[in-house]
Order: sequence, then C-alpha cells, then structure tokens
Amino acid sequence: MIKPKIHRQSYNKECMSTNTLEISNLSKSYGDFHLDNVSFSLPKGYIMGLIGPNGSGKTTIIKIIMNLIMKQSGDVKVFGMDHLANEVEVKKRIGFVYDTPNYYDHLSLKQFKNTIAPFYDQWDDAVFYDLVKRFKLPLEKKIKVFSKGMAMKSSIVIALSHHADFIVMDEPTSNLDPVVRRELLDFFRELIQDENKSILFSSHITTDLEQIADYITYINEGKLVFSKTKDEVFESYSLVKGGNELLDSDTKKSFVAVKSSAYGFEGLTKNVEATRKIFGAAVVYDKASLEDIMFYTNLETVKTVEDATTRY
Amino acid sequence: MLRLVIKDFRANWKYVALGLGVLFALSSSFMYTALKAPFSVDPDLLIYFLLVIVSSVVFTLLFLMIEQLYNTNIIFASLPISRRQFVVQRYVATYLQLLLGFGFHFIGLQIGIYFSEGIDQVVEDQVYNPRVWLLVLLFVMSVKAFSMPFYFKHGLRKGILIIGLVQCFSCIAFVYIMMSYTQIWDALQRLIFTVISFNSQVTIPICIGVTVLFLWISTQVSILIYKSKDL
Repeated sequence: MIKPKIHRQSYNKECMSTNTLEISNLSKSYGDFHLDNVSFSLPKGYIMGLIGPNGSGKTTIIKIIMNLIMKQSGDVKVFGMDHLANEVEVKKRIGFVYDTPNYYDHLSLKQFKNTIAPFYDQWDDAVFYDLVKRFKLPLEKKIKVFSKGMAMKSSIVIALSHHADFIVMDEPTSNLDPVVRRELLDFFRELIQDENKSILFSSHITTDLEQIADYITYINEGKLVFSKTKDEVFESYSLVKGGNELLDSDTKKSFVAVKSSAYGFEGLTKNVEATRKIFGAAVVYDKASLEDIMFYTNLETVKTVEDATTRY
Repeated sequence: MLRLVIKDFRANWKYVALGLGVLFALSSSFMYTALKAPFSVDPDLLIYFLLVIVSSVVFTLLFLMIEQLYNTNIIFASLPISRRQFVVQRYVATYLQLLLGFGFHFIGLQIGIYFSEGIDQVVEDQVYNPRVWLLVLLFVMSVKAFSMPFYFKHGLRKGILIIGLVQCFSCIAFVYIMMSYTQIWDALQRLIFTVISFNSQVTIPICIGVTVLFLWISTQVSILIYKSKDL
C-alpha cells in the first residue's frame, strides 16, 4: 500500500489503514484496447486523481468499479468488499458522477430527485436542498434547458445527497468553464474534510488534480504508469533543460523522453539524483507538472512504438 | 423491486398517459367506424385484434424507447440495484404496461360500441368473450417473452430489427408452406378448432402455464445476457 505524505493539516490520517478502493490485477480487453493488470488502492479519506490521455482506460476502470462493464480478470474491492458479490451494498455508499449526466430531459431536477431518492435508504432531502441552494440550481426548470455546468452540478448534487462515503467521478470538470470548475474544486476540497469520504476523480485536466488530489494514478494505453501520492510524484519527476551538446545516446538514457529544438533540449527524468550525477550544474531543473509527466510519458510510448515499427 | 417499477411509471407518466390515450382512441374509433358498416367476425374482428396486438406491443416498448432516447441506462445501472433486479423490473414494467394497454383497449371498445348503431349478436359474443381476450393477451405475452432477450442483448433498435426480420421470414415461410401444402393448413385448422372446442377449464390453464413457462425461460435468458453485458 502507498504510504501517503500528509499535506492537509486539518486532521491526522496516518493511523488509517483501511482502503476505500483496492484494485488488483485488473484486466479488460475490447477491440484494440487492453487494460493490462492494473493495481492500485485508495485509502479512506483521500482524493485520488486518475489521469491519462483520452482512451487510456480511465473510464473503463471507473465503469468496472461501478459494474457497468465486466472485468475479465482481477479483483475490485470497495470498502473491503467484493464489488460484485456485494453490489447493492457497495453502490448504496457510492456517489457516482458520470462525464455526461444523462437524465430524463423532460423532468425537472426536483422530479428527477423524486425518482432517484427512493433507491437510497440514507437519502437526505435537507442535504439535497442545501446543495441545490449552494449551486443555485433551479428546482422546477426542466433539465433539458440546463447548461453543461448546471447539469454537472445537478449530477454532483444527486450523487452527494445520500451521504455517500465514496464519490466516483468521471471527468466531472471537462467541458466546464473555469469559473464553474474552480467552484467545484473548492467544493470537493471542502467535502473531503470529512475523513470518512474518499474521492476518485478521473480527468485529463491535470491542473485540477494538482490542486486537490492527494494521490495520482496515471494510466497510459491501459497500463499503470504509477500510483503515488502527489508529493512523491513531484519529488520523483523533474524537468531538465540544457544545451543540445550535452545530449548523446548515453545521456539520453537518463530521461523518460527528450524533446530537442535549435535552442536546446528539454527532458523528463524520473531519477533526479542520477541525472544530477550526469549533468551536474550544466542543466536547469524545473518542477514537472502532471501535464509534463503525461506528455513525456506519452512521447516515450509513441517513440517505443515507432522504434518497434522501424525494426520490422 | 417495486421502487424500480414505480420509477419508470413515475418519471414517464405523461408518456404513459399519452400512449394509453392513443390505444383508447384507436379502439373506440375503430369500433365506431367499423360498426357503421356491416361488421363480421372475419375479417373485421380479426383486424381489430390484430390492431390490439400490434399497438399493445409498440406501447410496451415505451420505457425502453425513452431509456434509449435519453441514454439513461448508465445512470440507472449505477443505482444500488443488481442486474438481476434490473432485468426483472423491465419484465414487470413491460407486463404491467401490457395489462394497462389491454384495459384501455377494452374501455375504448365499449365507448366505440356505445356510440355506434348497435352490434350483431355473433360479434358481441366474441367481443365480450373473456376467453378471446385472455388468449390474445397470452399471445402478446409470449411475443414479448420472445423479444425481450433480443432487446437486452442488442438494444432496442437492433433488437427490433432482428425480431422484425425473424417474424417477417417466419410469416413468409408460414404463408408459403400453407399455400403449397393445403393439407397442412387444413390439419392446422382442425387442430385449432379441436383445441378451442376442448373444455376451456383445461385449455386455458394449459395456455397460461405454457406462457408462464415461456416467460420464465425468457427472464432467465435475459438475466444471463444482461449480467455479462457491457453498458
């Protein structure tokens, strides 16, 4: 299990050992896509960001957790229970937000709430109306006239009104304008102050996750690249910039991938110490953002594929 | 389970009301118009029951159509319900719709007859014969039981296409065989009349039993399909 570095000061979570989500050796194939032996876990009380380019397998993982698609092998445990054997019990404690909130457009939010609420023993109308008020959502207007932001907020309101302990969100901030995105991120930050709640949040907007996630799980082409605390990710990866004369086939090996131009090179390293030994002070070290990590890791994958193609 | 069934009716009650209104109008207007001219059991009453069958089958697709229209299956599949419950709910909702549809057809028929100039005794005997209505209902239930696994496997559009093609080819094959081999047609007619002339206290329970068995098999097949389906 990953040992998190605590960076929210409000409460002490080191003593917690229970995982809200445990995924081990998860595999699924359809068509050209293969989700390949993915394993990671999310401890109780934290936010995990699931990142990766489009089509990397983020939605597949989320759909498998929700039993919307079938896994081919591997285990998924939610709250320590098998997600299939205890499907109803597990889903009662999950709040699910899908990337496209698909509702009956002919209903109002209030009518839709009345349709959904009876399924949850813990449904709390007071929470629902509080959130509706907070997000300034119209209760009586038909959902079909809602903007994308309003529809996503409605989806979040519905997902949170039954005191869910685990909130699973698939790209909740994509397609939203910066104002609504910031508003939602602030809300998630507030929400996670309740240490019984955990959030799994997939996004390719990495800046959102840099702001709120405790853990980052990076999936690329169906494979797990890493699953670490955010601090560990930023400590292990670094962006290195220097002159092209420093690059040769040996020095290139210390990078995940390198991009050169007439002005010099920029590369991503996942072993800063080793890179320092090679280049010393001749290069500049910058903090790598999640976007940089995604970009260079993807570049490496593309390069590997190209190399393989050239070989044959 | 009940919550699931209520969910569909509650969320779509306007569409349900509209659909039932259409069935009511179809029956009453058909009867009113048909009874103005000389009305016979064959073909007028047969056409009427054909109308009841087709319109009721279409009406029972309402919830599936709405689900496909708004693509709500992912949201509802994420609710705390098992896939088995989801399938059983679909069947219960469909058969409730069917019963409602038949009810409104029957009421529409009464209105049509009431406002027309009267009805022939032979026709009246058939129109008000509960056995006829029950057999038609059981037939539609069997048709639905046959179709449902296709909807769960392929979705509504592809499912309708497959069932339509199967029914179309079966119909053509049936007509072809009956026209080519008249002795088979005669034997079939004799069989039907023999069955009908049997004691209804025996034939009706047998028909109900066969339909329920067919329905149970269909539900199990649908559960098996839906349990391993990627949404």
